[in-house]
Amino acid sequence: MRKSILLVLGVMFIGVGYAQYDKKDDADVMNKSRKLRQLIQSDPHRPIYHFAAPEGIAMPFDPNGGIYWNGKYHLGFIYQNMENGKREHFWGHAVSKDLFHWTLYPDMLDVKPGDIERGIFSGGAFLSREGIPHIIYHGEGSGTNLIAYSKDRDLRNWVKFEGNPVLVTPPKGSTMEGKYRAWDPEAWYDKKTDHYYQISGGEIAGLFKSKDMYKWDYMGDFVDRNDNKLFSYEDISCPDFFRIGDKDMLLFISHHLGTQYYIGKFENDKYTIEKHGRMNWPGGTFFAPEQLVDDRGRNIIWGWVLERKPGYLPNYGWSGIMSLPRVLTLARNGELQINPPEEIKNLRLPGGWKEKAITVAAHTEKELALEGTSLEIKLDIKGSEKAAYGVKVFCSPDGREETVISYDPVAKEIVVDFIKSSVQGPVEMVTHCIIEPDKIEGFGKTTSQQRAPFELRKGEKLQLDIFIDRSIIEIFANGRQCVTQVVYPMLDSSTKVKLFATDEEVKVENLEVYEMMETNAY
Amino acid sequence: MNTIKKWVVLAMCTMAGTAWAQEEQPLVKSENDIPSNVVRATREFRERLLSDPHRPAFHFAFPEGDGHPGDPNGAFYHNGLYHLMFLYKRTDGKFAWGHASSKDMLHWRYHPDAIGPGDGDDGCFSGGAFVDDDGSAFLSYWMLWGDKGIGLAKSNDPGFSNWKKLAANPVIRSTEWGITEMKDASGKPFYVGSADPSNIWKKDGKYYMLTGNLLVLRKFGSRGAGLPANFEEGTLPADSLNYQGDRLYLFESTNLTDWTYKHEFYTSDRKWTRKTEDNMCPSFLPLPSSPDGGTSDKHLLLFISHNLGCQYYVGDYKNDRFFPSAHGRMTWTDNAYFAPEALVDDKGRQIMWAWIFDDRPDSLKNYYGWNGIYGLPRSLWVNKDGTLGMRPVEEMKSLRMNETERKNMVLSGTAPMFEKANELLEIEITIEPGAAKQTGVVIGRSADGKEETVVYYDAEERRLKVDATKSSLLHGRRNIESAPFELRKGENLVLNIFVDKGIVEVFANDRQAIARTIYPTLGGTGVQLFSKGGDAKVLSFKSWDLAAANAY
Repeated sequence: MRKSILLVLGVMFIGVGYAQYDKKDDADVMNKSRKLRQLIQSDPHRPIYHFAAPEGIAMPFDPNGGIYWNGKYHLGFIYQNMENGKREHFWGHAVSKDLFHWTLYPDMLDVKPGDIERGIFSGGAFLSREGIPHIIYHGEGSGTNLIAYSKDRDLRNWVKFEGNPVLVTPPKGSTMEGKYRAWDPEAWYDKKTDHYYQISGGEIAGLFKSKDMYKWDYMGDFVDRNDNKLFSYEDISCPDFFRIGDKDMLLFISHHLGTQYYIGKFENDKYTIEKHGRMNWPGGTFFAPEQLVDDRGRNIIWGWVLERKPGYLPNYGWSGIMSLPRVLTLARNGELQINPPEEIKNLRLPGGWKEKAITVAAHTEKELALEGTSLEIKLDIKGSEKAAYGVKVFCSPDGREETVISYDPVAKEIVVDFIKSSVQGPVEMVTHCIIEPDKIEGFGKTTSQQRAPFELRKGEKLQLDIFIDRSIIEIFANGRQCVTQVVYPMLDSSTKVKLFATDEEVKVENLEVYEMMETNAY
Repeated sequence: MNTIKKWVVLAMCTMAGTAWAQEEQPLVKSENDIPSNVVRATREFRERLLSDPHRPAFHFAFPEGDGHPGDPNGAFYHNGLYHLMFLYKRTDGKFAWGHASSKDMLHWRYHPDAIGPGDGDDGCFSGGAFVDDDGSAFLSYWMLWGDKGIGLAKSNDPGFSNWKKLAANPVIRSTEWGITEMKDASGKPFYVGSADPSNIWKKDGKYYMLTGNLLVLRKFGSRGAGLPANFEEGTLPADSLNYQGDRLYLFESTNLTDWTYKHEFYTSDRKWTRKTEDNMCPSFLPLPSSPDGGTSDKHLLLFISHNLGCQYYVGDYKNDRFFPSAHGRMTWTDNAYFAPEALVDDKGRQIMWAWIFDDRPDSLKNYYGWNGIYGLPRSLWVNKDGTLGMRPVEEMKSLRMNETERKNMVLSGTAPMFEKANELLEIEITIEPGAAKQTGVVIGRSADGKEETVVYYDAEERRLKVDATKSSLLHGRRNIESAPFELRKGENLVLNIFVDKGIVEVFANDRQAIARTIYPTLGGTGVQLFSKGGDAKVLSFKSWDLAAANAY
């Protein structure tokens, strides 16, 4: 089995290749770099068209500081530099013209001698009154929020703001203690009021206002925590606040249950929430989102997809997977729409496989002619209102491995069942993201299914656009729901895609399957 | 920014004190862990590459290491992807083929090395690729060193990441390095090359392959035994007459493992090439009728001579022989555009790459840790008049951003300078040359005028020229590259120019092209149109910022 050979080779390589790691010459560095690149490239679970960290540890791997500038998308990402056995959090910097092919730049933000922070934690980009790109971020280890800005056309050089820090956690014993803290910040300039605003996340999200970015006034809680939309234990971190349609959206995470959002209106320094929704459900790992607006006015988001790599898989020298970019819009009825950007079509390799209509009889499966581990599978399904149906991916011919994506019309949910996703299973994953809640309500500590609420309207077909990429699955449903799941199939032969029906037959229409091109350089 | 100053600062930083010189400090103590300082070294190394002011952003550039020689090799198209191999020298001095693939020939993904030392080889030198009807791919390569010969490697896996050398290697056996002694019907010995195999092709169920003649020429050629072919033509040894000039040797096989020598593939003609020239790195493929594909009855033989660089024959392929009907060069003043490699894709386009010499001093190549650049992928086709057409592949357009256009400007002398503040630039100019003796554009002009590169049409001399004499205060050949090129009566000059930090590449009227390294150091971004000796009219001047395509 190829994967077990790889495992052995990987270990041997690390043992042999790096054993004599004490030479100090350039040739050695070059060889090590090449070997590391080839080791990373050999990982059968490393995605090929989802942006992945170039090497090393990226955990956390929050996308940060996203900004569209002079024709290009800039995305920062947290990674860990290991200095003397300690983790330092810095921001890498990737740049793309088309949202999928990324060129790496030197680090966007790191710690220089004299800086008060130990590392760079989450934050976002905004334009100043003068239209200059700024970044606000949390200074890890300093209890402060900080700002940097860049005046160069290509955003290569970032200068730390003269007025830093722009927020300090109130000290113990002060009158403001516990009202807010300096943590994952978000900032923007509001033209109407000619003021800057800052949200500082945490258990409580505080709102601040400033004329000049130097002096900030505390305006109170940004989100009313008494409305019971979140579980009481959930925090509000990685906030991103932006205009969408005629509403204002707060995109954020709790460290317990991952990405979620509020939609509402921000007026007179007050955020009035109308709606709450989630983008991650127990068993899923869509985390730490980042949003930017591009030249076409699109609200584009990315999320860090936490890995759940089983311990028996070897270390291939990297971690850190980014979700596909998603375009958010508001429908006329106020419902949030989530779609892949149209640029993703450029990734389809020529050929592909199309079928106008396929009927799948009750209790049967149909295997598709095109298979692979990095695919787009697009289809419409007309099914019944009583019985589940859907698509299986990463299926081995002997049926030992498969991951089942289905619509459950009774429970009104999109379900990703990954119990058989690996022969090493039955596979269970923890229901929390980073922090396990003290008290679990409504679900267990582990699960083998991620279930996302989704309801078809009367007579509406299920329209799925499924992207699989080695160890990650992203399912877009009817442009209004998106589910992300990591899985770790172990068999080389787990490349089949199948349609399936349960108690009643289904009709599949407009089926298109494409192999996807590799956008990561390795 | 003052780049020279930056270099001095950078050069003063020694490797000591950087991550890779430090003690190993693994995060988790397990045999399965990768030392964190290796990761840091890799990251710092990448930042080093990124700090190189002359590392190209959209020309194919080696990911790391020594690409000298750095021939593009083993190119093929299959299932939607372009595969390209790159010869490089490992730090132990042994040669291997790196491997990259791409959907658009701009964004590359690196595979594991395709072939290298091992299985009896001391390393692998140049060669080609071939995809058989059943989808298996083959690489043909020159086995190093000594009297080994030509080897083949095969891959069947869907991503072409695993290559296996054939047990039958060498499939063409050398009797000394790069040379095979044979006997004719009368028992008299004669010599053919067993070096630099071409791509393999299939015709009527049989396989064909060509081998190059550098070493045969050296042994018996113009300069006598053991001496390299040379620019100057000295006195010739009497026995060398049968071995002069560029030659290729045709081999035939029914099963890819047993190869029979047929005959010399074509006869070279002194009206086109010198007797001191060899034929190496050959690529032999059918020519399409347009840049977008189609078919023609012509074939293209691309090759180098070591003394005069990349060149080609257009001709007819019949009765297992090649009859050149036209010859052209792709480098003129020197041989800095070198070692071509080509493929034919699903549209029938023939696309070529070539290795561009890197003239930076070794100290800088070593400091930045890489060298090896390929020219932009060129689409090649045959024009109705039998000449070769060439232009950058259509895919290049996907890098364009921020288009600007100026129209209808009369040029008498030098027009005012304007800034194109980007080190990655594409320009497309259409000029009605009028009475101008020279007309074109100055690019990368520094504010003080100390650096500039001039691209122009010399109507008097009927040449396309790139004047790099003032391109760099520090490096490079700093000479004028000059290619034969003549506008027809009433024809406008159309220049398509790509600037990629240290490289400029110009295409003229779909039929001539020059690629040169320029190494500017002052960060000049001035652009100036000009005419000399008469007025010219700029009908259109379009420019784009280009996006980077290399991952780093």
